[in-house]
Amino acid sequence: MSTQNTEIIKNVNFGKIEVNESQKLFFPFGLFGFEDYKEYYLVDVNISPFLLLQEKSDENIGFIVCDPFLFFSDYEFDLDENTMKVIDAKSQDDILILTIITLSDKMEEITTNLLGPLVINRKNHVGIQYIINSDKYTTKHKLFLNKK
Amino acid sequence: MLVLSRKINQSIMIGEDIEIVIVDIKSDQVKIGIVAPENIKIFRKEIFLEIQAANKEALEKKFSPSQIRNLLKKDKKN
Repeated sequence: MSTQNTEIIKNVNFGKIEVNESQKLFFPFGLFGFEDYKEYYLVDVNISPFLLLQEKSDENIGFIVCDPFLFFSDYEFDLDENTMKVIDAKSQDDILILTIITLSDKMEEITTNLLGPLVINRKNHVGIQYIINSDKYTTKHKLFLNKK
Repeated sequence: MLVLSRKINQSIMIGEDIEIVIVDIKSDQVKIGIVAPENIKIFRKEIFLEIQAANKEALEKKFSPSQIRNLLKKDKKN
């Protein structure tokens, strides 16, 4: 296998971050509103359970993301065949789901976008932002509320 | 913007691969059918705009690493 290349990338809040190839993710269609930005690194910046999804070249494009199932154990949706094809995923086990977080000064107002999750193939590191065809979910679900 | 008038069951072709069909018309609502290749994504516009806006909003406010860690400390139930 090829040697892991280490790179330094920057985030406007976290400063310089050392990353390697294994953390690289490729979004062929970018993210909605950011279609031209396709290369990201998924980084642990010590804000567990959150991670940083940092765009390779623009330090301002760093999304805080999380594993939504940590907060919403009954979160579920169907993935259409075309999406599976785009990321070349053969089974559900190949797939990592991350959702984008909108932070707030108040913990209870921190929300995540369950309507447009990031669907990523763990094996080839290709991902897309998927819009769920359901009115069950919104772009703003509070993470730190006592759930019913 | 190209504006065309269609009656029920009439269609519009966009390129060779996309067809828009007027399926039904009822007072203030029109039912539209879309035939398109699998790789063309189709959404109600407001959903599309909402996701765009949510992505942008997620980047708007700046939070320092220590701010984030403090926020998360308040939820140390694990």
